[in-house]
Amino acid sequence: MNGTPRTRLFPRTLFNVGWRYLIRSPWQSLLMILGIMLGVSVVVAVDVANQSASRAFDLSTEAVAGKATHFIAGGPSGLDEGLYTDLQRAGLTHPAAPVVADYVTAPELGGVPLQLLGIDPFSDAPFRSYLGAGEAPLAGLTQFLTQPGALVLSTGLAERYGLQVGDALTLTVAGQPRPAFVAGLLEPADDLSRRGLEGLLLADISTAQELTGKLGRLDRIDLILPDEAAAEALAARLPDGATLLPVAARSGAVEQMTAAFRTNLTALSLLALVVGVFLIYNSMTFSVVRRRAMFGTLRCLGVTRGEIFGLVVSEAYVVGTLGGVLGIGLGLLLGQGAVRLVTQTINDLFFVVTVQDVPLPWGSLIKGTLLGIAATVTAAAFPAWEAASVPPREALARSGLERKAARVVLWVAAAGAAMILAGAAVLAIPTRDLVVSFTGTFGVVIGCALLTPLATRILMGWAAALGGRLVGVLGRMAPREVVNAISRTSIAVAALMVAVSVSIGVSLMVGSFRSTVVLWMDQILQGDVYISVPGAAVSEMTAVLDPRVVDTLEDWPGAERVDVLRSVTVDSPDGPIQVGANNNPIDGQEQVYYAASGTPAEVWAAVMEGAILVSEPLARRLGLPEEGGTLTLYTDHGPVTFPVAAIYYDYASSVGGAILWLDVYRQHWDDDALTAAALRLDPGADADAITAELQAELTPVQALQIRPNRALRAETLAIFDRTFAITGALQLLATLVAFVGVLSAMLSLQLEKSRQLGILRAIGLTTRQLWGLVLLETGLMGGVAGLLAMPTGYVLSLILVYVINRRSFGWTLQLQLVPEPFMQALAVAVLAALLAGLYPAWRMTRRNISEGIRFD
Amino acid sequence: MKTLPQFFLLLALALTGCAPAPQLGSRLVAPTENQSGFARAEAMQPLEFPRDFGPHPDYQTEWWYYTGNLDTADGRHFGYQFTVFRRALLPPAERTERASGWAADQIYFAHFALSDIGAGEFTAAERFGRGAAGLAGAQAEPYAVWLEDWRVEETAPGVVRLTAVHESIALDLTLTDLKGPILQGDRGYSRKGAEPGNASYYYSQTRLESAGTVTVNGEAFPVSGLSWKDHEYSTSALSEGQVGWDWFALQLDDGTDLMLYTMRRADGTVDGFSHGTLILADGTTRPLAWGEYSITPTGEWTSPHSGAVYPSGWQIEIPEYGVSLTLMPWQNDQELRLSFVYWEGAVRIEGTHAGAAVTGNGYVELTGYFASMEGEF
Repeated sequence: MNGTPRTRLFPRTLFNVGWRYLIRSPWQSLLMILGIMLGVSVVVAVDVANQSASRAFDLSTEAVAGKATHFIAGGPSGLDEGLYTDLQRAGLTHPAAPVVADYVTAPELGGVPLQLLGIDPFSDAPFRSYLGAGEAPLAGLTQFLTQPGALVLSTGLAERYGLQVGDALTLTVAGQPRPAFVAGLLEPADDLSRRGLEGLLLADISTAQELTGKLGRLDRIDLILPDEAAAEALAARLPDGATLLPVAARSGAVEQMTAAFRTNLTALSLLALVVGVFLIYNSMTFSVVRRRAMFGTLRCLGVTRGEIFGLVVSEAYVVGTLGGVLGIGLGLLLGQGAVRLVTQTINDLFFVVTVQDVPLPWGSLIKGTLLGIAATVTAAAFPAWEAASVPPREALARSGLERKAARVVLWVAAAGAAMILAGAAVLAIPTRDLVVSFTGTFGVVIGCALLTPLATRILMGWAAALGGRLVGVLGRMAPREVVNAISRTSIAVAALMVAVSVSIGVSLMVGSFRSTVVLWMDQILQGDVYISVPGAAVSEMTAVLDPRVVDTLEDWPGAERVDVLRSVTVDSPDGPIQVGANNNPIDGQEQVYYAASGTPAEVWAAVMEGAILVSEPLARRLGLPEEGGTLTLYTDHGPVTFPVAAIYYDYASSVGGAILWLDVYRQHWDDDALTAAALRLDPGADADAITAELQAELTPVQALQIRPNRALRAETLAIFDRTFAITGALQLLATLVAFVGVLSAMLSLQLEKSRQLGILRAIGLTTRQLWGLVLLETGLMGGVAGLLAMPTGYVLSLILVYVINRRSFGWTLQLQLVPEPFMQALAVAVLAALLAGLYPAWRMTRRNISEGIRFD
Repeated sequence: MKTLPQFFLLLALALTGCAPAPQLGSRLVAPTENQSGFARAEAMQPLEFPRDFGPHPDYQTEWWYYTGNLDTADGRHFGYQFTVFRRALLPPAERTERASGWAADQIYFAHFALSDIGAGEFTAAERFGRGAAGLAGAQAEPYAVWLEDWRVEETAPGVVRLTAVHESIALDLTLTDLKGPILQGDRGYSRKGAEPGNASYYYSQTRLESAGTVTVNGEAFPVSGLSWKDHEYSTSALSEGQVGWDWFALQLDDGTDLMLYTMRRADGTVDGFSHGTLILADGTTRPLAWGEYSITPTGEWTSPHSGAVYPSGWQIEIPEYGVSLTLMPWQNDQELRLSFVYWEGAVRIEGTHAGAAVTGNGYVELTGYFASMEGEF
């Protein structure tokens, strides 16, 4: 049978054909690889950042929760420490361990938030095995147990900051400095433990109580319970105010909160890859077009369709693999920056991540490579099919593809319209599932991209008419050139259009978001000077004001009134909920309502009677009705169901919160601590001067953040901008990918046309005119992309504002249409296209005319 | 007399031993501290009750040791051991005033074991706790010693209630002291070695009438019998070269009680500071010096768990008082494998005292057979 060697040998020859093509067209190959590389790198970077953040959270949780299945939680001030003793003395048959924990910072430890974990070493072993193993001498535990301020930290943390046993530390806890020292080091058992322990300061529970000022209190009692029956039996024994909760409830709720944030980033990174796919499609199509004659010849020589198809796909495979691998390298570099941005945002908005260094998520890398290869091969499939399906005779004819493309444009446009409708239909599905929402969004965006060829043809028709009148022959030629090569130009235009429209959409969304937040702050920030305790992180704003601070404020000259706030996290059947209790008699008038049961005055009267206000994100998360909802919270006296008087707009947190009247709060919780105060000044008083005076007076009492209204706003906006820093970076990367796409398309087109341009030059086209022709062509393409990106970007911003944001975070934003993003987008598109035309134009003009003609 | 030096090692072991394979783990590395500065038992001091029922925190180590033999009405036999140990972490001069109620310079740990002779079962458990926050402690008036829900509490003068639960076993006993405190050694000053400081303060309550319930696997057995209490405190009792000890607490049915021990040296000889006390039915005592009594093992038992070889069965002779006793363990397997490995078990007694036939029960403690107490610690 001689079929076997033939099928084995001939593809090898064919592979050489493909390989030589890639080698002989280094620019095209490089640009294809670059496109894939950028696309993959963005996806990898975001995935690495997301995975790292998620892993860091898991490790932070694992380091603190250990093997606990349940825990007993108290109100905002924790549990009475006697509860643990009572339970143990009454005979508790399951492992139980008391915990006092808080976030602290220390200048000797880089000033980053660290978890201070106070444990009882005698009951902690079943939960966390940090003090264990081998021949550990009690002498170490002696200090740990008996010396005030004795802390134990991991060798990794100590090495990072050059600390040794015996070194002094100054912890900052709720604005107060507390002396401590390194009493011992924890040698991690393995690499995972090393990373997990990185953010941990371990102390005896007595030391933790003293350092955090939680004397007589426990934050929780960890438990290992075998089943629900044991949990129910134990729950029945607990006094009012102590609630038994499964560990998963707390960490699960937090995971869920950040899931939306991470999904959004992933979707944005996928958009960059979509742009990359356009680019690959473009490059592969071009490579096929250039070789139509060769494929025709091969077909005449007896090469089968399948083999031609395989040849093109295998080329794509090689390019995809190379691009994918390089993209991973770049992605890891970008990922380092992205991890920082993502972690910062999570610290700002959700919870404190104390773990900074996590193992490289290998899954992301494999995912990235496969995605790169799959995208390339998929994008190459159509050109490959095209190459294989052409009859041998027709393939030798040069204009075959363009004729076909011209026919296809209408069909593509129809498909685009169908995709937009399908996408819109998917978006209309009322779901909180972001994958569904983003599928719809992608449908709409890709649908718009499919309309590009038709739109390009129509716009070029107009441009030719207009250009002819304005610039003459060249003005007519350039648009016609674009249309003649529509199969490739329209894809470059589509890629650029998608990138630019994403830029418009995201800019409009972020801008609207920002202006909504500014308007909202104007309404709710009515105080003149704000006083709070600096927490370890923005998301941990529960540190307590020294009572002397409030006394001082009340008697301060120029102060008309002091409003105070107690901000706490309380547990509920739906997980932890941030509750703010204040005594501002007109707070009801100063909130902005999404839905209310009456006038603001009536709403606030109801709140003073014991009702609760719920923020919009929380209401959405819990699926509360607009009227008549209720919210159950675990108070110090057992669960209490509060009627919801109104739902208010709140852009401070996507986690959501609730507002209570301070007196009502104190009825249900035995907690008279305060978290923040707002000073209202007499008319004419100087807020800045009073801030400075207060700072001088109060600093000896407690380290405080005292900020005039203006500064607080500025800081809030700074956090806002920090949150969107990564969005901006992704936007830029998508545009970069599109730029590479346009450059690649231009280069290909112009190279293909070198003979034609040579003839033009031979019949008298000057170098200047050549420059003009090429740049006009690319400029037109950029202009079309920019013009088409405007409606697409607008639609995208509508989707982002009214669908994605609301479903992800529960925020209603007021869409603000401003011209700048549109103008910027057009400018970027044209500029990118012009830049992409520079090199081909330069190359054309440098080429010898006769050589140009002969070349083909 | 149970000198258990260097308790801190037990603690370290306990912290690591019982946890299942962790996901995150580490090992503590910290400097050791000079442990000198504790009060030492350097001379006889009169013991006073009830004051000395309570703790003596200036001494480094202290224990309250209860053992007993119990029977149900139909003759099912149980032996039990319940011991609470105290260890001071800091010498008195180095202790500081702390704001937290959890701050502790004393730690407590306890062993609880039950020999269920009828079922041939032996169960032992161990616990640790801080001497703070009400979790563990001891007090003189009213007398109480406890670690969480394992506790001994005075309910009336001379009467205590002992309760302990561990998984499937539980004990709830009322103990009534029939003889009052018996001072060991020289009026409670018990020398263990040649140096004056190598000694302890030591008294016993050798005959505690016991009644209550033993619970095994949810079944409560009403029981009655006799218990024995030792209470001892010291800072450094053992001398160099001492590897372990055999200790005997014997209660005869003619009302006589007997405490004996031999301190074994590494070279196999018995330390001359070993001694004993014969407590007559009326509570009067006769000190016994090494040489006035002999203890001869009559057999041995190899633990299938630890591989340690223990003597099993003894012949005890005290010629001066006409005591000749044969001791046999109620069952062989009464080996505790906790932070350290030792044998502590119920024994039955037959023999003669002053010419009359006697029977009885007792408890024997054998240490240093699995590993030398000195070399290991």
